[in-house]
Amino acid sequence: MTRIAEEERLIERVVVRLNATLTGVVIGILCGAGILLATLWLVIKGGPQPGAHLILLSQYFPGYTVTVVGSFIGFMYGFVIGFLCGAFLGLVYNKIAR
Amino acid sequence: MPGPNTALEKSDEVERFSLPPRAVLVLAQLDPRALGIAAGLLCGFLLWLATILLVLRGGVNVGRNLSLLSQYFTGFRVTPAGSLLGFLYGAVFGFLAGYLFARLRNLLIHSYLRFVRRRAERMAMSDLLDRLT
Repeated sequence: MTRIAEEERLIERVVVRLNATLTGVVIGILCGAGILLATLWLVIKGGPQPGAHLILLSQYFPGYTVTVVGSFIGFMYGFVIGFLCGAFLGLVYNKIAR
Repeated sequence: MPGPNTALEKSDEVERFSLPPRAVLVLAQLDPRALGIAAGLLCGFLLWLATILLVLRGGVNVGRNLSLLSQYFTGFRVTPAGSLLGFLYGAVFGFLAGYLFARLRNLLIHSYLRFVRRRAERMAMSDLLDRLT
């Protein structure tokens, strides 16, 4: 077997391990930024009743509103939830991955 | 507990080859089964939690919006029993999403690897022919 083919076989055998903390931070930032942008977009667009549906997030995130301040509160909630989800994903994946 | 560098768990093996360990890390495979199980548990738990929180809070019209999920998840309701059914649906869909994501990612990485190898072989052959002529 050639060296290149051996290296290809090696790469196919190596399994990625996730860094749970980094995965949590990345997913946290994505979730937080998603909520922030979604909220700010509706605030900037305005209208008689901005964010009639997005405000339903306040059922789970107390204090969240579709306002500029609320978008930052939403970012914090999104980051925390995303971080926990990402860290859980990383930990469970690492436990099972072979 | 796995640390930041455990991605290079097989580093002894990796060091025997000319490829830099970081390159092996970038090209290494995601375990589809592991990612599927992790994503399935996470999605199932999130859906269960979202349902049970509304059930515990109570009110006149509990989970009017969340119950719209029953359009896709037949039988899902915002009740304690519905939350368990939601866990099952979430777990199945989460597993499929994680599994397919990992499979697709591995497929694309290996396609890219083969593409790079073929291109390098073509260039080497072309160089050799140039030298011969």
